[in-house]
Amino acid sequence: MLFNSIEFAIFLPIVFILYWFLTHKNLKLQNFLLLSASYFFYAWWDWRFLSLIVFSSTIDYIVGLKLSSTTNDSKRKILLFTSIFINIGFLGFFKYFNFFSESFAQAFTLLGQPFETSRLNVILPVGISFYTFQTLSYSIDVYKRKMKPNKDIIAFFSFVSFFPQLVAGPIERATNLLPQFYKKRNFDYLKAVDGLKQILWGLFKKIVIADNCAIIVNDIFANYASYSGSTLIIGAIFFAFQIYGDFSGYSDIAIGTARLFGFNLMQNFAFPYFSRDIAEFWRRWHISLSSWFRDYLYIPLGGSRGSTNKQIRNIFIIFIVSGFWHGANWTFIIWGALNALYFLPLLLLNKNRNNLNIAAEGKIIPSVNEVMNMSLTFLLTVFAWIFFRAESLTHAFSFIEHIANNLYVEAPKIVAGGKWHVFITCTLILIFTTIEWMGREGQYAIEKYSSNWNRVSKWIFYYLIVISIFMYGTNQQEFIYFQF
Amino acid sequence: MKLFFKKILLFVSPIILFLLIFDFWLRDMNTIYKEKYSNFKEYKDSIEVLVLGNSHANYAIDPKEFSFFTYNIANVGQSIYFDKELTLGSIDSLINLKFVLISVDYHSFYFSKQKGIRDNWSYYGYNIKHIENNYLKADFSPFLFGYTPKVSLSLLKKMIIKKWKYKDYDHYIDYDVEIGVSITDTMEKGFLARNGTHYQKFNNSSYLKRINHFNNIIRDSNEEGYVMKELEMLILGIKKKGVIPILISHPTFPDYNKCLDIKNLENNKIKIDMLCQKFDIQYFDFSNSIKDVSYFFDADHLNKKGAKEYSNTLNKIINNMDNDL
Repeated sequence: MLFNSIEFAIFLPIVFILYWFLTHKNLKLQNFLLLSASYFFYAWWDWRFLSLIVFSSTIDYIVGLKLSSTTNDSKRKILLFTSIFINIGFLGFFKYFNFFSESFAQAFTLLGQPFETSRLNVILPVGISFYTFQTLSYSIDVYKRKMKPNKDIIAFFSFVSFFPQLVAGPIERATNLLPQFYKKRNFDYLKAVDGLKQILWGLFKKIVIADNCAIIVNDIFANYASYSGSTLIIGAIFFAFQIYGDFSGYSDIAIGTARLFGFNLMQNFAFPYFSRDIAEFWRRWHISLSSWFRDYLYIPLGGSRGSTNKQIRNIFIIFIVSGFWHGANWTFIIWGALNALYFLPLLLLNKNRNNLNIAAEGKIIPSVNEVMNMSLTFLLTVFAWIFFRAESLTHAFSFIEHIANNLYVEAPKIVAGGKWHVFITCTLILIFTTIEWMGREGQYAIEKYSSNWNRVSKWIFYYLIVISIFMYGTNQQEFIYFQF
Repeated sequence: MKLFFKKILLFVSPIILFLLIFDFWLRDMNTIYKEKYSNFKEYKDSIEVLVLGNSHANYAIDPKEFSFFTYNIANVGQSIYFDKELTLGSIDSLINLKFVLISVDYHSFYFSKQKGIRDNWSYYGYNIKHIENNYLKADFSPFLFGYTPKVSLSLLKKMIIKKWKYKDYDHYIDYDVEIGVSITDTMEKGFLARNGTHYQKFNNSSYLKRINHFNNIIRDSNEEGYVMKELEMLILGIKKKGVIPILISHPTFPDYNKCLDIKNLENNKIKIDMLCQKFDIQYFDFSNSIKDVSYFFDADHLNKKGAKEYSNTLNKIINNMDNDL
């Protein structure tokens, strides 16, 4: 069930009404409703893969209980590794089996020892990378005694499968989300209104910005050989807006939906394209994943402590693993490695924590220096996005080669969708970027943006967003991050 | 909670009202599909030559130029699947039908669904459903799912402009038509021509844009086998009734043709040869037959003048074929 679908528009109010009117007096019943709704939501795609979520939840539930009942360190380690092995095992099987078998076959062929491999003809279960990491965080935190194990099976299963963030995050930590399932939730008018605002903004990002950019991007990346270098650069820039609108739009809808049910999910995007260096970008882009890797991989590896070589190693590991998490393709690995390369100078010069505040804090106009830094960071990410978007390494390198070989002075010619479509999309991106800039101190762009306005102005603003969704929305398209 | 629901209701009410009114208008609205189909049913006893295909045939064949009673049921983006459904669904009532002209263009073998939301347009106008589509949503709201909000709003805008601009005219086309069609023309036997030549469209960039669009369809297609089966069913169904199917590739501008992918063209030729052999039918390739740019509206569509010239040629061929029978 897509957030931008009529099915979800029917599903959400029904669950909302049942949740606040029928089950609001009993916490267990409320959690049970959320669990049923979440399983229904997931089963809408493919009910067969529900068993994977149930199995993964069961394993981690049992592991959690067992971890609390033993103080023996080796037993505790075995329990933790059981959880990691099973969860990562599922992920590896469904997501990476074909990649590894094909890569090994290619490597052996290059070494003069060709051998045949068989491909697994399996579909990647939607959201597996997200809920696997979420449930793993629980086992690791219980192992590290950061939290007590959960005994309420319904609450735990609801935590793993909570429908707003089940298929594309934010990847919630057990320490943040799970306790919210134990506490009685009361309807909060302001929180619900805020949730609706965030949903509306998320829909705008996805339907108006991302889907319109997709029309141009898909054509340019598919037919790059027939376009000039300047057009290909524009295509990559449009992809930067597409991926941001798509994924942060999804996160906004997820966070907003959770708010309607009284839950607070973590912020997943904090205006990353206004970052002044790559380190800041990674503190603002897909925060739930970056911080997951930071806490459960980077810090256990030693983080930024130790020798320079060790620091470099750790940076490459975290970025490459993060890239690989996105998909079983060398393109994602190169994308990760490229970001590590961008990040490394900042770390080595100890400048990776230079920009902890928001750009041009308390001001409307940024300084020239800030504009330069933001532009440079944006262009670096745009270049890396080419690898992220390309279907293969050959595709990516060929795309870049075409940019380099055809970089004579020529105005970009975008043909997909027609000139009017390109003009409208550019105008919408400009409006969108302005709103995001003005609202960059909030959790999402329009959180505080209209808070001082009178009711009429506010409603006109919201109606304009609704109208633009109707007017400039394209055909329903899936969220990019569902494939990860 | 009460306040929340009250405000939601207040906010949503104008939107729902707007949707209801729009849906009502869209259900009632005339379209080129409705117009073509109602005329088709009206003339079914007289039709001797039936023209099928996508926009290439739609704008290329003028039934007025034929000595046989000809009807052009081709439409923009119409796939072989819809050609088959239209023809075989009515063939028993087409009592005088002698020839069916089936378009086989560069991309015809690679899609059964129509571009964008045109499947819904066919559903509303022809009442033909694509076997893989679910029309529940299109039935529920033409605004949200049938035509989609973007197209619906554009249709409304065009309708308002037309009403204002042509208020003093006795007659004008009250449904949406493509650029180049004169609003004061009248559809005759399913045919509406495009006028003049859109000279800006005759350059390599425009050719590539158009060809890229087709190449994307071909590259992403997984329907090749399915479309061939549908085409074979169509040919077989036509032949069963003693009617002669003819495969045709319509004229497209020679410079544009040079940019087409040779591999795809060769692949198409293999398919066409196979069909001709298997069903003992004739194929006519007119793709490079017209070289004068003034006969084209754009690189792959004839204009009124081109359609007249080309239809005359086709008429002669059909007359010869009829004489040979």
